[in-house]
Amino acid sequence: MTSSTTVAPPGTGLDAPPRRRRRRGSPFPYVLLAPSLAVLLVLVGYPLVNLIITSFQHYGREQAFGQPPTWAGLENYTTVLTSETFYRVLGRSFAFMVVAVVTTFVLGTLLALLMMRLGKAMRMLVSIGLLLAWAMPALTSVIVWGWMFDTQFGVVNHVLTLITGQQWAGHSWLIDPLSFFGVLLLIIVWQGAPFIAFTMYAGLTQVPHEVLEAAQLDGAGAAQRFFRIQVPYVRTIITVLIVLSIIWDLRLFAQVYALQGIGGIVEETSTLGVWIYQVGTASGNYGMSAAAAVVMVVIMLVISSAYVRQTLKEED
Amino acid sequence: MSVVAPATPAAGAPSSPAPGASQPSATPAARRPARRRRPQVGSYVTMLLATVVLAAPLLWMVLASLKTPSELYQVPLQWLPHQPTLDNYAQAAQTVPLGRLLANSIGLTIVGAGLKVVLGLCCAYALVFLDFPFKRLVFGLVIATLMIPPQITIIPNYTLVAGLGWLNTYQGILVPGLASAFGTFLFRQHFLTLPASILEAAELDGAGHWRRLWRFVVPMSTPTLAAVALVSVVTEWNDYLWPFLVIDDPSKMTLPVGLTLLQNIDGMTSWGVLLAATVVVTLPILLVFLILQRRLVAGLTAGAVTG
Repeated sequence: MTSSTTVAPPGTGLDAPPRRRRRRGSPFPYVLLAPSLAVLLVLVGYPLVNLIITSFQHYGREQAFGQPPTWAGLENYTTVLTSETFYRVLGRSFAFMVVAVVTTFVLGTLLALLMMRLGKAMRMLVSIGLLLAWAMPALTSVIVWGWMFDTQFGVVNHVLTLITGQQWAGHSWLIDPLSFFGVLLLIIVWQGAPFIAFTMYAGLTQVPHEVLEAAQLDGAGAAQRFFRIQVPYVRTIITVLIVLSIIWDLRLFAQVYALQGIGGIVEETSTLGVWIYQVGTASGNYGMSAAAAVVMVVIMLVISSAYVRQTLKEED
Repeated sequence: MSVVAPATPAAGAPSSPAPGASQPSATPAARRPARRRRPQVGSYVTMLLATVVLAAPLLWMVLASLKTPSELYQVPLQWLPHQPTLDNYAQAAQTVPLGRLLANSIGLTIVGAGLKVVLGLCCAYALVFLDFPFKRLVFGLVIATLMIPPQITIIPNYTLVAGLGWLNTYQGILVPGLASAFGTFLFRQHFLTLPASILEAAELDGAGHWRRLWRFVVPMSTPTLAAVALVSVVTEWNDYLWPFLVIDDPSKMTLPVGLTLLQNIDGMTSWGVLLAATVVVTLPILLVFLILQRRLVAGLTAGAVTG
């Protein structure tokens, strides 16, 4: 019997070396994995552990300058979870996230569907338009939109005055929280829709033409073809995009922070990320800020856990 | 007849070469252009409108940066600059070392995005094509890092970087940015769709993992590669909060950080100067985009054909 095992490999002599490499004991997987895992471990793992420890401590300005922190038990958590501000900020962040994700996704998908119908030249033009919006640094786009919505000299107020005949100059868009979030939504959708459009477009081009044509011959309308054929085909892409959008829009920071810098009442417009930053850096209450951050991470993990589990199942 | 028939759909619908391989579909393919023509006008108008809306802020920014202060703050508003002037750019360059900032930003973006792509490729390859214990756990952890908002890791990382003596250094900006699982995630999703037969054939031909990764997997992944490269370049270039914290030496600053210097001067916002600097921040990345975009589109169509 031993001879048969030794005889078999020479027949396929070439695949012997790679197969040996693939065997369990090979260090190769670790060579490939080590750099990225090390970076993640040190720069995400360490801060996370640090954050969790801090969240159980009295950690203020003095501690930041070297005084040893004292243990606080669950105090920081009870402060956060009983604080009215926290729930207001949380509700605000979620409401904004839902509106932003839905708007971005619908507009992005419509753009992708339109791109499918265009000829090469038009599609190129549109792609460039999309790229321009997407390429813009977040901070920069806030500055430009801020200028367009400027109270005195903004183009938006000017155009509104021209259209409505009423005097819009002097109207502040950022002082009212609701219209502050309107402007923010515009900025987020403007920057976010292109990514959705590109990815959806890439996905939709993978749907076989034969299937769509067959459906069309069977009398399926455009809407029916979209929901019955195209959507199921790109379902995984849609899930990925929605999960990513939820995460991105929940952890919003730069845009809110910068827009608050231009105008707007901080207390009434802060989202979760900005609020955590303010509690920590501006008020110096690092312990409470850490506890709030841990709560936020838990929320994020809960939201995405179903998706993570599903992705892990694909493996089997 | 049979020669003419396939030629028409190819001209009418550029995306038909793939199904064109199956000859029987000549009739529906010929009918398609007629059906398509009607919505096309509407599509064009909508698309044109969308493009204008998308590009309008950028146009407005460029126009504003070329205006004089009196034109900027004029009521009623003036659409076009009377005499386009580069004064705003000159003033921006006087206030901050613009050239230096540009060089810093370009260098850090190239190195950072390059490293991110390579790290992501290697990690995803291991996660998809190699067998090792706790593979699922490792991937679960990698995905989980995506959920962690960067601004909460910032303060601990700041102490870490400060402890290493990396404040005001390039590595201080660069290294923490590498901790992104986004590339790994996208690459993995794509690798799972690659035909196993090709890699098996490569393995039979004696290609090792390293060769298989660079000679087979990477060339088959151009669209994803372009996408990850673009996302990485954009995040690196746009990164603001972290470099803002780590750097206060103007000679090491990146462009977005320099922008805040302009914003805070004299306590009043000088929009013209700020917008001029904003143009300088935006232009290089647009250039990169226009270069990469062609690859992206080519990659997308290649993907459509093989898929």
